[in-house]
Amino acid sequence: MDTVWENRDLILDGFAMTVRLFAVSGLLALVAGTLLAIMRVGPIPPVRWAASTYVTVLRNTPLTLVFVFSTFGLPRLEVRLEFVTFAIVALTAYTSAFVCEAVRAGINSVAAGEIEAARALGLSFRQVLTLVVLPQAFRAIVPPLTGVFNALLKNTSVAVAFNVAEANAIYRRLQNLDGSATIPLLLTLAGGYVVLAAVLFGASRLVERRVAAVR
Amino acid sequence: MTVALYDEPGPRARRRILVGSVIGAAALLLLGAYVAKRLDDTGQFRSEYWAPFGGAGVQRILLRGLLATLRAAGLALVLAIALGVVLAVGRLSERRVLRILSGAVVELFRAVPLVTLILFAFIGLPELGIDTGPYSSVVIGLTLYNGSVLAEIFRAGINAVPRGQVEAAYSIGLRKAAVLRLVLIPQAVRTMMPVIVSQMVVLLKDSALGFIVAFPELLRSGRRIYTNVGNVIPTAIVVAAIYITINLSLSAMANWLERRQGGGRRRRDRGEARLPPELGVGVPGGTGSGA
Repeated sequence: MDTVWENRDLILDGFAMTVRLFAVSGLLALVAGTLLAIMRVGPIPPVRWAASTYVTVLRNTPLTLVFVFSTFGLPRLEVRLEFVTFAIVALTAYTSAFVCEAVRAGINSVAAGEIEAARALGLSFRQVLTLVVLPQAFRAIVPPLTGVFNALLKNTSVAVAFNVAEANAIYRRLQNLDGSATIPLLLTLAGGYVVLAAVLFGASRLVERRVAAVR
Repeated sequence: MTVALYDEPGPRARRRILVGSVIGAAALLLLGAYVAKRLDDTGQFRSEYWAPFGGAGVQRILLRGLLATLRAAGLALVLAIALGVVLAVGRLSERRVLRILSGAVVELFRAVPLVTLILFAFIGLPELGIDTGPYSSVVIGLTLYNGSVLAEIFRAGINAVPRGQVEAAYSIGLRKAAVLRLVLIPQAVRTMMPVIVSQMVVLLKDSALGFIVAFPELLRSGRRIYTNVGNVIPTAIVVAAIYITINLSLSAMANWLERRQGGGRRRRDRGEARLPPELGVGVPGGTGSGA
């Protein structure tokens, strides 16, 4: 137990990195995923194909491999970034494919009558999308998006293998220092993730209640 | 597309779509050309980077890695299904202790990242006197995580069997175990098959985390190649292609199973078992968001 207490700053730093990876790539993935979803439901075929190819490829590639591409592959293309930035690139690229699918499901859940009515009023595709469809879609997808973000929260842990000092890297280091601290360390680590997940779900429920609409 | 976001385009809209297509295609081509040029400038197309994949040695490494991946994923799948059944039955039990215990196990292993579980099995368990290697660490991690996820799927599947079925089974004198074995599980398994197959995709992808503990699975084998040859990007492309091929075949199998079950709608009207929507059957990205 002492090892955990003595190194509390280090452990907190690890979780701070976890939160940072989560927040930055979550925000970027939300934007990129929404754009991808719009591309996928839009009327322009080549754009549609490009977006669906991207989603299919990223969803079927292991995240670890996306990390290899980013952290070890990009430097080969003379892209020089910090390890943290490579991790954010990988997490964003991977997560946006899943955000796209969630948003698309939300768009598909908007009642056809709504869209027909909007079109009958003479709204353009862009107006139908931004004024009628997306606002309703986002209300419907708070729960599935929460699932995607929960996966992202846990996925930040993959960064441990790619030179980012997030929570698991700290665990690994401290465990090497003091083998007897295995169980307390693991419980601290697990507890940290449980707390973060609880915060995420709490926030999601709050958002859901605020945007809940009578349909 | 299920949603009619736009009408059958008229002449003007058709013209606009054509213009959009041309601009979109041009933009994509430009982007593709830029990436290709970047790849070429940094020498990624050099033949010494790609030639090794034609050689028997490299192919043997990849094949061995693929087999290791399939071996770990296969064993973990079988164990996870077993663990999932035990935990699901525990959560549905009439004994409170069992319910709470299984619930706690499920929630814990779903909340903790798979990386943490694998690291614990790899460096934690040996400290506690349990001998694990990379292979068993990966299998333990995958089993604990996917077993918990599958437990929730099984529970939902069993709960989705209409109550009347259970009541009818009890009324003809079956006991609890028999109701579960003869009535609930067969129906639940049928509705859950597609979700179980999609979970297989997640599990197979997650097995690439073996990379972290140096388990020589497919991705780690790729590392052996690129550290020798220096061709990170070509190797990553080849390895990605292998994963994508396998996973797309699995997804195709899930779709086929779902269709074979005779179209969701008809079944629903007859009031047969179906899963609640939050499990994301058939919803793209529903359960497939693991690492």
